[in-house]
Amino acid sequence: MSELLQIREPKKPSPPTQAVGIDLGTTHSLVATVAQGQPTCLVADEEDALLLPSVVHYSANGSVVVGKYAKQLASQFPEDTLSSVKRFMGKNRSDVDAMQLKTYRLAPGEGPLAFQVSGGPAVSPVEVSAEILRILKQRACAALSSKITQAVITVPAYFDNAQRQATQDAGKLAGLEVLRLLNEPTAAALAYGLQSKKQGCFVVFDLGGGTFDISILKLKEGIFEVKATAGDSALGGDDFDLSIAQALLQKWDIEVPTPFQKYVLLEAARQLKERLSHETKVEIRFEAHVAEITREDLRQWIAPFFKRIHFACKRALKDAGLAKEDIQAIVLVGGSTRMPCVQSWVEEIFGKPGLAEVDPEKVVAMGAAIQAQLLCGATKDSELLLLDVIPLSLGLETMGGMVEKLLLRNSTLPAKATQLFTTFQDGQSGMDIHVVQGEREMAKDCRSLAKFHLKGIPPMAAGLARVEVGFSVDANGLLSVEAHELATGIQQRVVVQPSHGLSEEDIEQMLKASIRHAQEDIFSRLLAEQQMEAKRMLAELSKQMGEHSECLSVEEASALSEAAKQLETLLETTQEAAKLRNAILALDNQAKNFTERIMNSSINSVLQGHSMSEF
Amino acid sequence: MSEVAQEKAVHISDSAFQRLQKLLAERQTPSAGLRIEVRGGGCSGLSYGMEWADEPVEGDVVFERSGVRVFVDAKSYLYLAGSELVYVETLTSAGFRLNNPNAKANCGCGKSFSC
Amino acid sequence: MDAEKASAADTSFFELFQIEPSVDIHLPSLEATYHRLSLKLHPDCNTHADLKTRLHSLEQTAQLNRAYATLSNPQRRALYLLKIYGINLEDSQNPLQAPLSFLNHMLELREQLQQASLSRQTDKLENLERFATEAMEKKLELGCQCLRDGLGHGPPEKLQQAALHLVCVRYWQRFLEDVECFQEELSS
Repeated sequence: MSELLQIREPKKPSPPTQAVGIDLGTTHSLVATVAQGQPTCLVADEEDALLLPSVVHYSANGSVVVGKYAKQLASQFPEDTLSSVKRFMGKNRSDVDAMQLKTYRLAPGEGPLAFQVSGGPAVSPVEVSAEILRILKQRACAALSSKITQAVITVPAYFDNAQRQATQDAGKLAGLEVLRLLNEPTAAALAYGLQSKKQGCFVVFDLGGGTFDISILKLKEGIFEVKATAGDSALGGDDFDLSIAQALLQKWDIEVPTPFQKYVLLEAARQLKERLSHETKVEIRFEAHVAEITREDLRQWIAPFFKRIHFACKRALKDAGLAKEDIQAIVLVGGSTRMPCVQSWVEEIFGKPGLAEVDPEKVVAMGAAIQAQLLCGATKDSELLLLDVIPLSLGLETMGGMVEKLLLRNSTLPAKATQLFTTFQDGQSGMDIHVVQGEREMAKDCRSLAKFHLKGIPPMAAGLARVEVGFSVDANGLLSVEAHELATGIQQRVVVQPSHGLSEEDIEQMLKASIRHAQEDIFSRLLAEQQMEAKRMLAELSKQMGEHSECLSVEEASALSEAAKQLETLLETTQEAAKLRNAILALDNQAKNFTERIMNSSINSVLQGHSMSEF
Repeated sequence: MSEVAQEKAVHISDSAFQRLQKLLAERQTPSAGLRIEVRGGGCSGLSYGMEWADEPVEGDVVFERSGVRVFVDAKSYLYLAGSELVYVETLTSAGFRLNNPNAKANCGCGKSFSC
Repeated sequence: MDAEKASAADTSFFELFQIEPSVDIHLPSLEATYHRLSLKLHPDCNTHADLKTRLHSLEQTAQLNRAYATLSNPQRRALYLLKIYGINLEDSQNPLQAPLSFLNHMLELREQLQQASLSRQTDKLENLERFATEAMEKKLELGCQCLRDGLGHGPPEKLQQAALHLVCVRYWQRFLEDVECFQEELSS
């Protein structure tokens, strides 16, 4: 059998430098670029869907599968198939609620957060995200027929410093130069604003799979100025699914002990949620249990989330110094805004319905692509500028565990602030500097970003040494801290270290290793794909042989069964993708007469009301 | 559209016609066409390539079946005259094939041929 | 560790925007200038420049952002004006204290706030928020009025009075921040 031809999209004349925008989402990810002035989402070929499920499967043989194939493997290998990893980016062990109805296994021990998977050492959320980014990069390379190294990656506006750092590291690990970490609502506003050409104050309401952001922007003459942002980096569709699942467990008064059951129940909950966007009541089945669920049930189950969302919206309006009447339009972003219940929340909070004029699932990637185009220098002297803000206040712990805020939330980026501190004991030679992020008064209630010790202060009376601490936040929202003693000029600079435990050197090491293994990676990926193809084909063939045994002679049937058995054996023994591919093609060829007969017979039976007239 | 004798045309089979119609609709470009070209490369010398094109360019030979158009540049047409474009779905793959009477031998990869 | 703001007290924020130091500012033209300067200075608009130029533009943009944040907010603007005239309220050594009666009032309100949050009375919290917001705005306006009278060649005691009002404004602001924290706790 010869390979069939596929139709390609015509090659677009590419500008000298090309960078892509990537929406690295909790449930889906996608990549976009600007082609002929228009932001366009990219696909590798005709068969690939636009949205890449953010799911990564680690096989026992060490290979890694990403996207829809990985998702297909989730029910079979719930523990080795990681989804919603974005929720764990930049998190410590202590941040993760062990009671969550999740299927993965945390790697034991004290070190940084990692997941135990088959076929290799534990993987960190950064590494898992890098796998997703690698695939998106490949897609972009294939679609644009050029080497892509630069990207703008979007993050929830409410991501803190550690979460941003983790995302940037994932980009580096995937071999990407991260031009910018762009806030998702800002990206959406950029795409929406350019398309609608409207001016004024807008709200971007972004409720995705795992994060919630609200940003208020003012659009005026090409300047996209973020006035305020608020949100919750752990609130999204996943939480709705969990609530639904928990409510169902309670309703049926049962427990789910196995990871597989958890997976099935969560999947059922998700489907229930999605179907209730179109239907008013839906029947749900889980094992022997059945229930009919209405929109009203769903509304009640997820009602507790409304309070959090309402609070964030109110705070953003207040910080922006605006009333809801000042808002021109509310732009809806993220898959969860498809829920009628969420749409009614928006209307309740802002007094007018939200808009979804640009596809809520693509708009973020499109905005990122526009920003990538601006930053890679492809457009000269642009009259377009994004002014974003820091989502959470940044400060230092002072006497008594109090926080002294150096940069307030919603300060425009880039931002700098300095503050003078002095010694409080005679002859004090060092000073602990504790950097925190958050709104609370006490340092213990805020997120700790870094602790360091400034040494070598010359002995002086209390209050005489003067230490200047400087904060500087770049356009990515990433903080670096500098401290120096003014009299002696002793200086210490700290780029706030990510708490997910990967140092700059670690990343370099992993990057080198991944380049070394790139070849191996490709082979194991190819093998995994062929293995899946073989399984699919064997299943299909045995189904067809069962249903259409009349189309086969006894000899043909036994020959086909024999060939199928051979493929099955090969599937278990071989590590060579090409061998497997050839065997699949051979079996396909052998089955061709059979499948043609099946097609003919079904066509005949439809056309003439009786079958097998020709045979 | 250039006049070409029937036996020298590039024929669009029923299966290919239906598939192209569907793809064009999905692509939201009902007026676009399919460009088929013959290029150097592949394991026995020449290979086919297919991509979408908004409009034919000067020198193209255009074949049409009820609104679905196929564009072939003059050079490629020398090799493609009398071919039939078919669409095939099998258990494992789906795609187009050119049944080309000019091709003497098909190679293993199916993408190339020699005359 | 004892905090004390770096004393970068100068009039450069007003100079940057090419306006005279004043309590009252025309916000739309301030914004227009901010946008114009941003388009000129921002590193994103200078992607083709060399590293040194871009670092410089980063510094300048950070300064511009701080200036705009200060001048566009009436409270921060008033504090900045006071600083120009030699009264730095951010300095913890500053001897200015709010009147005792005011502090007693605050204590009483804080007790009410604690109670409302312990008994999870969201409506009570909202009432306190509204009350404090109004009180703060009133104090701020009083402070601004004293500043208007005291700036330039006005009587110096007016500046002291303005400073006292602004000290109270800060108490109200902290109170409102606490209200918000309680509201957040109640919402999750």
